[in-house]
Amino acid sequence: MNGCILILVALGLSIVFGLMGIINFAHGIFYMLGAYAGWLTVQVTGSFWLALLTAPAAVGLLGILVERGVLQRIYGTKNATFAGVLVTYGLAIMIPDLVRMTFGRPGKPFAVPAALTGSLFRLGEIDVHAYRVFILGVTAVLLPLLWLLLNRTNLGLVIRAGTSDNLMVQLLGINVAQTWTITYALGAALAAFAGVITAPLVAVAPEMGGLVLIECFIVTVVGGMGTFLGVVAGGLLIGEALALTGMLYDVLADVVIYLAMALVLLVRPRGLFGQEGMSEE
Amino acid sequence: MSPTSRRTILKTLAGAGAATAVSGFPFVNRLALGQQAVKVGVVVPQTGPMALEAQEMLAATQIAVEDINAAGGVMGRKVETVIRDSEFKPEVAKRKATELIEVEKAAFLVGAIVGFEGIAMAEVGCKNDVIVCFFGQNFLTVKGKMCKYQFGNNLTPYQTAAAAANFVNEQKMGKKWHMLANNYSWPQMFERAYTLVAKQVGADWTGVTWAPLGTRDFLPFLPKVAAAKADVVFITTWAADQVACAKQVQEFGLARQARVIHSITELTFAEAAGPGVYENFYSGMPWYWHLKDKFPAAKRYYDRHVALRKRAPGGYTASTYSTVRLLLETANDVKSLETDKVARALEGRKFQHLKGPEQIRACDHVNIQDVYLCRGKAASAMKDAWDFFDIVQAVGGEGTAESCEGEGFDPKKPLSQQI
Repeated sequence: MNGCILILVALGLSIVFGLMGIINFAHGIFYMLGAYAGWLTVQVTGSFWLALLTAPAAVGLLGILVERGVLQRIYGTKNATFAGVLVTYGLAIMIPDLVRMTFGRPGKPFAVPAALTGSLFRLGEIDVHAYRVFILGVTAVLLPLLWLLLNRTNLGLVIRAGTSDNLMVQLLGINVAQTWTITYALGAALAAFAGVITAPLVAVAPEMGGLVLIECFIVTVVGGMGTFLGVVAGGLLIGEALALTGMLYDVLADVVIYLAMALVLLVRPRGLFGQEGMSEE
Repeated sequence: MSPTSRRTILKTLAGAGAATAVSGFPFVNRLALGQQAVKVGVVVPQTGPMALEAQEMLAATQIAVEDINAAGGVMGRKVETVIRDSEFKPEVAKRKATELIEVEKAAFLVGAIVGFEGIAMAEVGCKNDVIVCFFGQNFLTVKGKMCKYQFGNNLTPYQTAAAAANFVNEQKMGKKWHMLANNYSWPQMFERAYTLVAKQVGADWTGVTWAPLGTRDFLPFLPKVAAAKADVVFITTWAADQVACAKQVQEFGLARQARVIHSITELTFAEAAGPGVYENFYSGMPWYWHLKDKFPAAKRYYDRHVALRKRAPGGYTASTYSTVRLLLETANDVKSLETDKVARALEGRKFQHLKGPEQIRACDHVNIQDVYLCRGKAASAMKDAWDFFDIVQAVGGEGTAESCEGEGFDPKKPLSQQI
C-alpha cells in the first residue's frame, strides 16, 4: 500500500519541481485536504465512490487558486526558488491549523466502504483485504493513464519539454503559465486522490500531510527529480524497503529509507532515472 | 433637635473609622492585605498537532480554578490562570515557562502534554524553585532526572504498563506476551515495565515489534507480531499512530488470535478511528467518563465539561482538572505559597477528586492511583457519540507503581529530603 500512495503523491511533487522549479512544501497539505474533502463528501452523501471524484476535483481547484494567487507572484523574481520554499512552507504550516480550527477535534472517522470490507484471500500469515487490493488496482489503472497523458498528449509534451528546458518552451511562444497552472492542479488532485484512498486505513488528521511529504521527497530524490519512471521506481523501492524491513528486521525500519536514498545517490547522484540537464537549472 | 455634643461627634467618627478599617473600600482593602490573585502558569501546545487536546485541558483547568474560587480561593485570594502556548516546541515551552515565573510571578507551573515539553518545563521549574506538575504522563521518575519541586499527577509509563499486565494476569488471558510499539523513548519505558512484570508473574515475554514513529502502514509489521504466537499483544502507540494501528490490527484480525491491549488510549483516538474500530480491544485509561455513574464529583465535572466543550472529557482532561485542584488545595491547606512548604505538603498527600482514592507517594512524587482497563464496544452497542468503551476493571494501588528503590530513591524518605 505504501508504495502506491507514495507514487501518487510523489508524482505531483516531482512534476511540479521538474516543470516549475518549485520545491513544493505545500504538497503534503493537498494529500491531507483530499482526506478531509473525502470525509466531508462521505458525511454529506454517504458515498465513498463520489468522494473519489469530488475530493480530487475540489483540491485541484484549490491548487489552481494557490498557483494563480500565490505562486505566480514569485515566478521570475530574484531567488524565486528560495521564495517558493518559503511560501509553500508557510502554507504547509498555516493550512493544517486552518483545518484544525474549521474541523475541530484532531481526527475524523473514515471507514472502509462496505463493498470493500473483508478478506479476499490469504497470503501466508496475512489476510489480503479487498480494500488493499482496490488500492493496488486503482494505482495500476491510474499510472498508465498518467503515462499516456504525459507522453501522448500535447499537454504532456509541453510538460515534458518544460521539465527539460523551460526557457526554450517559453521562447517557442507556448502558453507556459497555463501549463504550470494545470500541472500544479493535477499534482494537487493526485495527492488528494491518494489522501482519499488512504483515509480508511489511517487517522484523518491535519498533520498527516507533513509525514507523507518527507517520504515523497525521498522518493523523488531516489527516482530522479522530474521523471515519471523515476517516481514509480522510487515509490516502489521505498515502499518495499519499508515493508520488507518491517517484516524482516523492524528495528531498522526507522532508517531504511534514508539508507536507501544514500545508497542510490552514491551510485547515481541524479537518482535512478534522473538525466543530465534535467531540473538542474 | 438637641445640640450634638463633642463626645457624640468623637464617638461617631471613631465608629466610622473602625467600620472602614474592617470592611473598607474593597480596592484599598485588597491592596492593603496583599490580596493579589494567586497565579497558576499554564503551558500547553495551543497550536500544533495537540492543539485540541490543549483546549480540552484548558477547559479542565478553568473548571478546577472556578471550583477553587467558589470554595474561597487560596487563603482567601482569588486564583487566576496565565496561559502560554508552547507551540509544541521544547525551546518555546522553556521560554514561556521562564516568562511565567519571571514576569507573571506564577506560583505554580502546570502543563505539558508530551515528553519534550515536560522536560523543558521541569528544567525551568527546578531552576527557579517553583513547583511544576505535568498534565501528560509522569515519565521522569528516576533519580538524577527529578528535582524536589517536580510532580506528576498523571500515570507513569510503568504504572500504565503494570496495570495492563496485572489485568491480563488476573483475567487469565494467557502467559505469552508480546508488544507492538512505536520506536522511541516513551514506548521503550513500557517495554522495561512489561519485561519486569512478566518476570514477576512468570509470563513469557516474546519481545517487541518496533514500528517507526509516524508509521502509516502497520501491515508489514503484523506478521512478526502474529509469528510470536502470543496470547496477549500490548500495543503502545499514541495519537495518529494509534488510530492507524488500531484500524489495521482490526483489519488484520489479530484479535482473533490474541487479546489486544492498548497500553493507554484517549477518547479522542477512539473518536478519530470511528465506531467499532476498538471493538474487543482492551485499553488502559487514567479516567473514563463512565465513572460519572460511580462518583458524584465525576458526574458534576462531566456535566460542566460537556456544557463548556460540548463533548465528553477524556482521561487526560480529567487528570488535568485533578492536577490543578491538588496544587491549589494543598497550598490552601498549608496556608502558604512558599514552594518548599507546598512541596512537602504534597508529599504523601491523600485526596479523592474524580475517581477512587489517590496519594502522592512521598519518596518519588508518583501518584498512586487506579488505572481503568476498558473494553471497546461494537458500533451497534454504542449509546451515544462517546460511548466507545465499558470499564472492565480498576487496577491500582502501590503494586502497579515501580518501587522507589527501583527508581533509585530511598523509600523511607520523602523526595525533598533526598535531593
